[in-house]
Amino acid sequence: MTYISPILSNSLNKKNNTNKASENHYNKIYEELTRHANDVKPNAPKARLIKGGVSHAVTNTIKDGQNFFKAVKDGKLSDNNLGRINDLGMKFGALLIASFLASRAKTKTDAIMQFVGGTTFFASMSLWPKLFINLPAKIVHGFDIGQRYVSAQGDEKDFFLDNQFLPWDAYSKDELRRIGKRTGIDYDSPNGEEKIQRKMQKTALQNRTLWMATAGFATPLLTAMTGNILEPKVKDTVIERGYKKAKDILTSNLFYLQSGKSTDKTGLEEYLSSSKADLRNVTGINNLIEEYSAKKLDNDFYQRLADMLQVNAPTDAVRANNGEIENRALQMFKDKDGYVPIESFRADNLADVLRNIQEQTAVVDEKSLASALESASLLPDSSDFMDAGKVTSSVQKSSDNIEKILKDFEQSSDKTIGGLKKILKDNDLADSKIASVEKGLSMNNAPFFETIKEYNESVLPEIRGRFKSYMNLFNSVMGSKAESKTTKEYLAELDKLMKRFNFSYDDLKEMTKSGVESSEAKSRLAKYFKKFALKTKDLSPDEYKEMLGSFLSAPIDKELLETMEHLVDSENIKSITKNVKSTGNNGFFKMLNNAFIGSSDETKSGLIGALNRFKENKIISLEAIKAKALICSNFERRVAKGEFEAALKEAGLISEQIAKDSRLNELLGAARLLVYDGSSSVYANKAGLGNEVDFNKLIEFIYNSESFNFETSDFNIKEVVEKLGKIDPSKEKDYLRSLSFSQAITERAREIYNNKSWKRIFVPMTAALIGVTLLVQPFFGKIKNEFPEEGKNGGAR
Amino acid sequence: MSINNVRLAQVPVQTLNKTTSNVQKNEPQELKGDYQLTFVSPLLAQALLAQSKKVLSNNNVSSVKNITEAQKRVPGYKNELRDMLTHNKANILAVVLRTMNAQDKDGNELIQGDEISGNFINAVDRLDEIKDLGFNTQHVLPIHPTGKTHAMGTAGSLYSPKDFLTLDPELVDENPPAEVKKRIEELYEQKTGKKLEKMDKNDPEVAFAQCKYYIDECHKRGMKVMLDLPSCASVDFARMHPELMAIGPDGKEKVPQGWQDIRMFRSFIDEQNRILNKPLVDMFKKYVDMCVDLGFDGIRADVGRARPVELWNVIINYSRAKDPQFAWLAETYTHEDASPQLNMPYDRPQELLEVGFDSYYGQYHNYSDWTKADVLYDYVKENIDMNNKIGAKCGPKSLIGSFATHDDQSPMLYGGAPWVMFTTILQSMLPQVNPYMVDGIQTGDFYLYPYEHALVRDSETDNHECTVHSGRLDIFNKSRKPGGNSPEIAQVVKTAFALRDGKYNELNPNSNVKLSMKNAQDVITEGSFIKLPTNNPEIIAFARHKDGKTLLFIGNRNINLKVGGKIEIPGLKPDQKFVNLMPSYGAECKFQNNTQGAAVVELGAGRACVFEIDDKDIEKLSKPENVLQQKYL
Repeated sequence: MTYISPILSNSLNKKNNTNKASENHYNKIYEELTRHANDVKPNAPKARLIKGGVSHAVTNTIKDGQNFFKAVKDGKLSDNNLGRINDLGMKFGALLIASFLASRAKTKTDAIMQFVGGTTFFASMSLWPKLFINLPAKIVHGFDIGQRYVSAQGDEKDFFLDNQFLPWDAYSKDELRRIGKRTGIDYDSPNGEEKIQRKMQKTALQNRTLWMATAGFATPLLTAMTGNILEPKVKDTVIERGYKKAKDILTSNLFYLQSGKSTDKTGLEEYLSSSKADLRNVTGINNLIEEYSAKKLDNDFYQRLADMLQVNAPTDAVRANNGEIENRALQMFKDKDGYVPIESFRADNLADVLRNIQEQTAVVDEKSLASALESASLLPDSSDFMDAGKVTSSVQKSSDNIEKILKDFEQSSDKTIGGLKKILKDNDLADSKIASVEKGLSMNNAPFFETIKEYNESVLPEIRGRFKSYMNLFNSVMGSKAESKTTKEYLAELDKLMKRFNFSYDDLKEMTKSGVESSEAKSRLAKYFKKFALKTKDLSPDEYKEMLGSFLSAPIDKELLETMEHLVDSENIKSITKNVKSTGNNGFFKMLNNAFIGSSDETKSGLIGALNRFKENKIISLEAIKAKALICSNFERRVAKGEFEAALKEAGLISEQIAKDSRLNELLGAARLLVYDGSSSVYANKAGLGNEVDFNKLIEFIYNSESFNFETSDFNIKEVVEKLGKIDPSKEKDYLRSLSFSQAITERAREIYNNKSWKRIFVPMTAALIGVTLLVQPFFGKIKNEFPEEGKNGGAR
Repeated sequence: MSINNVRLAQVPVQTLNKTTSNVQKNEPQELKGDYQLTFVSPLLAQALLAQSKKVLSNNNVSSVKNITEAQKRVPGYKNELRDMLTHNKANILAVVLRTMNAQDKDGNELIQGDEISGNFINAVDRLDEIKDLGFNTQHVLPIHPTGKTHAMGTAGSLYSPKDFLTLDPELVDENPPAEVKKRIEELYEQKTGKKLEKMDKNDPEVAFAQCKYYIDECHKRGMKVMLDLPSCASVDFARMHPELMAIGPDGKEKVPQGWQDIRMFRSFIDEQNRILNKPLVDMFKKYVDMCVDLGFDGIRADVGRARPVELWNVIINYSRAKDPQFAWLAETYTHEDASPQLNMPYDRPQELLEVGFDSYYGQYHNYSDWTKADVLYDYVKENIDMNNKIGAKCGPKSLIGSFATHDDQSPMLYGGAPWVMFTTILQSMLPQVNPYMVDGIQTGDFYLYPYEHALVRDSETDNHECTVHSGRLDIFNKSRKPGGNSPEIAQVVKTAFALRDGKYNELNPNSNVKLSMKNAQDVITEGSFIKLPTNNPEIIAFARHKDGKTLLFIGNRNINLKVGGKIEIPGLKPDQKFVNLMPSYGAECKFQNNTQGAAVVELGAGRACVFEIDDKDIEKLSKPENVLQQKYL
C-alpha cells in the first residue's frame, strides 16, 4: 500500500460533502495540474539525422547485401529494407550485365568501360541530385535536401522522402534556428519554427520534384558525358599499365627463361596464360595441326599455315621433294598447347635444314642402301621414256653400278648420306636416281628417325616450352602492348597535327562526310597543307623547323625502343637454349636450334631474323606516322616553292608545253595522291601517273632526303624518309607501312567530329539543365499567404 | 496533425508571453481572464502538487475512497477498469451505438425511413449476448452529435463531432419501454432537479439520462465502458470554436490527411515553449467531467499522438483525481512512423504510457503480414521489454489485441472465420494483451455494405453519398446491426475468454474436457511467456506458465495449408496427453509426443489449439532468452 498524504486523501474525499465543494476541489486540482503540465517532456526522438558519404554508401550496400541474405534465410525484413533490396538488385544486375558484356568485349578497355559505364550510371544517378540540386539548394537555403536519417526502427531513409510525414524531431532547435537565419525567418518570431519547417518542407518538395523531373535525362546525359571523358583515360591507363606490366614481367622473367626456369613462380605463366596478346593465330594453327594430325599434308594445309604465319607458301616443287619429311617434321613440332610461331619456321626452310642434317649426320645402313639402290635403279629416267631400248639399257647400267656403289660405300669412311651422295655422284648416277635413293633411305633410315625421336621426346619439349614462353612474351610486349602504345603515340601525333591545322567543325564534318577514299577529303587535306606551305615556303630550314615545333619531338617512346632492342638481342635469344640437355654438344641439335634461332648474329633467318624484322617494322611504322605528315608538308612546301615543276622539267619527262598546261596540275594531283594516300600499291600509283612520268623519279623527288634537312636529335627524318623512299619492290611494305596518311587523318577527323558533334548537342543540354537547376533555387521555398492573419488578434480567425 | 504546429487565437500575445515567462520561472502569478489561478500561497500549491503527484502517479490509488456518481447509481458496482487493463483482464468489444441494435426491416442494410437505428435503449438488449460471450469491457465509439458540413456519409463520421460536451440526439429513444422511461426520468431529475416533461431527443439532458441508463445496465452486468474521445473536431465545431483550432501555413484550419470532414486542434498557445492552449485543455477537462458523471470507466483516446504529453499530463491526472480507476487507452502504435500522416506527429507510445495511459493499440493489426512466428515473438518481446523498462516508474502497461480495429478491414476478408478464430485464440493467450474485437466480428461480419458509395436522397449531412471504407465497419452512415453468419466464431470467443477469465470448467459443466489448474486466469494474464522452438516458422508455439502450471498454445498461422513440424517443449513428459481446450474447427490436428521433450504436430490450416500440460519445469528448462516475463504486475 502506497502512502497517501492524509491532507490530500482528505481533500480528495471531501468532494463528496457537497457538489459545489467538490467542484471547487477538483477545479483547484485541475488548475494546479495545468500549471504543472510541462513537468513532463516528450521523449527524445529515436530518429536521428546522419551524414552520408561514400564510405557510408559502401557500408549501406554491404548492409543491404546482409539484409538480403538474412531475408532469404529467415524471411525477416522490414518494408524499408525490402525496398532497398531493389537498389541492391539494380547494382547487382548492372554488375552482371557489365560482366557479361565485358566477357564479350574485344579489348581490355572495352571490358573495363562496361564496368565504368555501370558505375558511372549509378554515380550519375547519385551525383546528379547531390551536386546539381542538393548542393545549390544547401548553399541557397542552408539545409540538405538529401538529408538522411535513421528512423526509430533503425531504417535509414531520406528525411524528405515522404513530404506528408517529416520526423521534425530529428532536427534540433539550434539547427532549425541556423536554417531560419539563412532563410530569413526568425526562429523566435511567432510560429518561427513552423515557418522554417514549412519552408524547408516546400523547398524539399520542389527540389525533389525537380530531381524527379530531371533525373530521367540528366542521369544518362551525365553518364554518357562522364563515360566520354573517362574512356580515353581508361584506354591510356590500360595501355600504360599493360605495357608497364609486360615490361616488368619481361625484366623479371627473362633471366628465368634464359636459365631454363621458364615455370619459375614469378607470375609469368599466369600472365602468359591470361594474356590474349599474340600476333599469331596460335589457336588457329593448333586447330589446323589437329585437323591434319591423322592425314597427309596437302596444298591446302600449306596455304592455310602460310596465311597464318604470314609467309609465302612453299612452292609445289619444294613440297613435292620434301613431302614426307616435311610431314614428319611438322608433326614433330606440333604440340597440344601451341605452336612455335616464328616466321622462319616454314616448311621449305625446315625441309632444307632437315635434309642437311640428314646428309651430314645420319649413318646409312648398308642393307638399306642396297635395297634403295635397287629400287631406284629399276626406275627409268624420265628422259628415257621416249625410247624403250634406252630404258632397258639404263636399267642394266644401274644394276651394274649397284655393286660398285656398295663397294665404294663399304670402303668409305663417311657413312653419312652426304658421303653416300658423293659416291653416287662419282658413280654418275643421275640426280633423279640419287634423289630416289635418298628418299628410299630416309624412309627407312632407323638411326635418323631414332635421332628425331630422341629430339622430339627429350630436348624439343624443353626448348619448345621456352620458345613458346619467349614468343608469348615477345608478342605480348612487342605485339599488343607495343601496338597499343604506338597507336596511342600515333593518335597523339595526329591530334597535334590536326590542332596545328586548326580544322574547323565544318571541315571535320566535310571530311567525315566525304569518306576515306574521296579525293575531296584529300584535296581538303591538301588545302591545309598548301596553306601551311604558303606560310612556310620562304622560311629557312631552321625557321621551318621551328614552325613544325613539337611535331619534330621524339616520336617513339625510348623505353619501347630499348625494350624492343632488349628482346631481339641475339644473345638473349640464344641463351634460351643454352642449358638445354645435349644442346650444343651435338651437331644435329646445334643445327636444328640454328634453324630456329639463326646461325649467327647477322643471319636473316631464324628467330633472331624474324624478331629483327618485326622490330624494324614496328619502328618504321612509328616513324612513318610522323614522317608521312612531314612528307606531305614538305611536298607542298616544295611545290609552293616551284621545286616540283622544276624537278619534272629537269627530269626531262615532260615537255615545256605540258608543264604550262593543265597537265601539270593533273600530274601534281596524281603526285599528291601518292603523297597523301600512299597506301595503294606502287603499281596503282604508277598507273595513276601514266606513262609520261617516270615513277621512280617522282618517288625520288618526294623522298629526297636532302630536302628534309630539319631533323632533330630526337627524330632523324632524313633517315626515315630514305627508308620510306626505297622503291625496291621487296621494300614495298616499308613504304606502305601503316595507314595512309589521308585515311588516318580522315578517320581521326571522324572521331573528333563525332565527339564534337555529340558534345555540341549534349553539352548545351546538360549545361541548360544544370543552369535551370541552379537558377530556380532562389524561387524555391516561397510560401504564399503564410500566416496571413498574424498580428491580427493573435492570428485568430 | 502536428500538435506541435497547432496555434491558437484569442489570447493576446502579450499575455501569453507574460504567462510563459512566469511559468518558466515557476513563480506565482495572476493571470487576467477567465482562467486565473487562485492559489494564495505558492508553497502550499507546490506541496499539494507534490502530494497529488505521489498519489496520482501511483498504481494502487484505488485504495482512495472515491465514490463516483456511477457507483451511487448501481449498488455494488465499482470501476476497476484501470486495473483490468493494466493487468490484462479486460476483454474488449468495440461498439457503435447508432448501429449496435439497429433494425433494418427492408434488408438494404441502410437504416432509412421508419427503420430504427441503434440507440441507448435498444443497445441494452444486446448486453446479455455480449456478456455471455465473455466481454467485460466496451469500447464505445464516439456518441456525440456529428458534424454535417463536408461530412463523410449520410449520418456524419463518428469521429467528426459537432460538440464534445453533448451527446448525439440520434441515440435517444423517444419512446422507451415504460420501466425504462421511469428510470430515465429519475436520472433526468437527479441531474437537472427538474421533472422530465417530454422525452425530447433535442434536450441534451435526455440524451445524458439515456446514456447513463445504458452505462448503468452495462455496470449491472459487470461490464466496464470506455468512451472514444475523437482526436479532431468537425468543420461545424471548428467554425464555432476557432480559438481551439490549428491554423496551417495557408491560413486555413489544419486537416489531417485523408479526412476532409475534420479539423485539428491547436494544442499549444506557444509552440516553442510548449505552453498549452488552455481553452482546449478546459474543454477536455469538461469532457472528463462529463464522462465521469455519465459513469464511463475510461476513455479511449483516438490518435493518441495527436495531442501532446503535456495535455495528457493534465487531463489524465485530472480524471484520476476524480476516479483513480479511470482508465485510458491510447490509439497509438509502437513504431514512430508506423502510420505516417500529414499534419500528424510521430507515434511514440512510451511517452504516452509514461504520462498515464494504461494501454495502447500497438501493431497487432499488422499480424496478417507477419508470416513467420519469430516476428510475433519479437514483437511480444519488444513490448514486454518496454514495459519492464518503464514499469518501475509507472507500473504495468498493456496492449489491446488490435488484430482488427474499426480502422482495419474485416479479418473475415483475409482468412474467413478460421482466421478470426485463430487470432481470437491467439490474442486470448498472448501476454500483456487485452483481447479486443469489433462488434460483428464475433459472428463473422465482412463489413461489406451493398449501399457503398450509393447516392441517397435523404441525408442528415451535406453529403448524399453513402461513404464507406470498403471492408471496414461503417462509421459514416446509419447502417444495419453488425453481425455475420459464422456463429462458430462466437463459440470460440466464449471458450477462449472463459479460459482466460478462469471460468473454463463453468462454461461446459458436462464436458469431458476439464481444466485441472485453478489459476488459469493468472497463468494467462500474469504468467511468463515461453517461446517454444520449432522447425517450421509458420507454427506459433508458446507456453504460458505460472506457479508450476502451464498452458500451451500451438497454432498454424497459414490459413491455406496444413503444416507439420516438431516443437521443442522442455520438460515435456513422455506420457503427456494433448487435449485441446479450444473448440475444434477446420481440418484435424494431430499431436504425437516423443521422449525427447518435443511434440511432432500436424496442424490444419488456421488452426489454434490450447493445451494444459503438466510441465512444472518448463520455465527453468527453457533457454533464458526464450522466457519473457512482464514485471511490475
